[in-house]
Amino acid sequence: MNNDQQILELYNQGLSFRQIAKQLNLSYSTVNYRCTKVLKLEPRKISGWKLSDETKSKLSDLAKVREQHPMQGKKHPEESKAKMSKSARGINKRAHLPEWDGSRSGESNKFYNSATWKEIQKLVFLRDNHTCVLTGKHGGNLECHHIIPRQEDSDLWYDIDNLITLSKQSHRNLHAQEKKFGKQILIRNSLLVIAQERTH
Amino acid sequence: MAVSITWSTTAGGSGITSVTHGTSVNGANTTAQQLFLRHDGANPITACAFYFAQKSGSYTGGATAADDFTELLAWGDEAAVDDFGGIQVNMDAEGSFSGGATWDMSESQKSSVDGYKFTARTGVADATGNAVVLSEKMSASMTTNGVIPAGVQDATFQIRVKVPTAEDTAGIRQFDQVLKFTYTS
Repeated sequence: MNNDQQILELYNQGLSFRQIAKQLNLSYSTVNYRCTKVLKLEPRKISGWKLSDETKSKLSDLAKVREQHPMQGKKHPEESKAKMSKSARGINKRAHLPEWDGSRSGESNKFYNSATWKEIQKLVFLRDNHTCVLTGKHGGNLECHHIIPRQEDSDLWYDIDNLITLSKQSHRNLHAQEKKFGKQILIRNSLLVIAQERTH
Repeated sequence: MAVSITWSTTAGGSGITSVTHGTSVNGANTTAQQLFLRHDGANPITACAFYFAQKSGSYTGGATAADDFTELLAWGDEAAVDDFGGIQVNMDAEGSFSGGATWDMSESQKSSVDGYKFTARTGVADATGNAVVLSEKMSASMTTNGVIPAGVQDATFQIRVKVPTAEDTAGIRQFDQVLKFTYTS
């Protein structure tokens, strides 16, 4: 017996498309397609949902737990409501944690979206030849990194010597490393040659 | 006739005059930079040696050129594991730098017994008089320490800086790296 014959037989027994799919271990979309497009069958109309005994038992247990909740039948004071509302909106969320660096605050977004920052960033990319100073990779998704973090010294926010070009991944890695180990230090050196010539 | 030396980041590549080693954090190294040296002399250049110095050109760091150099040497002088660091050089190109970018340079190996790795510190590569002679391991064409034969394109070494665990000041550090040599035309 092929699939269509099996589907038709089960359909005639009164099973829904979903029940047929389950019984024949086929996907619902396959059964739906075979039934409606190939066999031209009408989907069964379900008159109403019936809960299994197991589900009814779980719902009953849940209702009992709810009745035991200390706030059952009571109202939260206005002060608590305000705090919960604030928390749900994300205000002050994480701000109290010592490791929170504020990098996603409104002030931060304002800084990174400012025209000044975008201009400075362009200069830094240009100076670093659009190359990540950590990986040496040219181009791609580049970001401008504050060596001394913004939170530590506002005088250095736009200081080009405090800024370097990093790939997005390097930037992420560096901040993760900094959180774990400590402060960032940029190292530069110039290469010189001193010759002592002897002419014979 | 004068000879000219070219520093580059690839064998036979364009000349460079400075290197940014990138950033590092406490207890970690900057990514090891591999640099290449070549010369256009008809004869070998001899008595080739490295030393480091305070930055001589325009200084754009966070303190002074002298302070940066003093600090870098002090990192190399430290014996305590947490405070040890500084400028580290590996000249073992023939040995593929013994583990690539992660070559070991622990405090106990400030001057490795094999003689081709060193950490700059007081008395070692800190002045022209204490320059460290180039290892013949910098190129398959080199057969004598401190001598780069004519026509060698690929005398190469790695350099990095280790930031001590205990360092408490973020910012930029700058220094000069000097190659000195003798050329007889």
